[in-house]
Amino acid sequence: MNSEKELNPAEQLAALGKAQQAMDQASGYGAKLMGTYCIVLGLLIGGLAALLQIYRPDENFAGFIVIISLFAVAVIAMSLAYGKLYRSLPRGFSKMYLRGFVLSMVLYTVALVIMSAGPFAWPVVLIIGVVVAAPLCVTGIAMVRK
Amino acid sequence: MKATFNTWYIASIILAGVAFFTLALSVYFTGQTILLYVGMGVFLAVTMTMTSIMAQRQRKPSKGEIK
Repeated sequence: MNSEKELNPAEQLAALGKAQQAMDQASGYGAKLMGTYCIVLGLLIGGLAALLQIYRPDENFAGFIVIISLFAVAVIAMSLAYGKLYRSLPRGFSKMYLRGFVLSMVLYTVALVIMSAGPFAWPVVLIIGVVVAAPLCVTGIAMVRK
Repeated sequence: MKATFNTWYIASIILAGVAFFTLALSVYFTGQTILLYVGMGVFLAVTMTMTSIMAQRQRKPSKGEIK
């Protein structure tokens, strides 16, 4: 006995539309989640870059190691989150994420080099933090809004 | 047992993170600041490479898509 009835073309189209709608919904959710992660990570990395002013390697090595560990954990967590979510991201979002991620990482490295040159005035440190956080935060905001 | 790409992705990123941390810590004992930058460079290179490969894998199935 076969309980499944054959669908006519109109019903098939409707089922396809329904499935597509569910997929769009899932990818929208994935994009929002990934965007939120990007914003949080961006703010965290920007904050850590600014904190290098207080925890300089030559003055407070223990604090510096904590900052570096937090940075490594944040980057690993972000990469693992991307590894989980990349299938549910809309097309083009991986490229967008990669661009923001690479830019923020490179800027953090530059900040590390600059900050080790000596203590700076706090407004300068704030600008450095904002510049480091900006690429990931902008990417995250764009992902959440789309 | 064959490891999937996802396993390689997770393992290499975590390993690179641990290597970076170890190199950063070794700066304290050796006084060679350059080790920190080497560790940072390796960590970023591994993370970025693995993420780009992952992103390419997302684009791959779309080749066979009906337009």
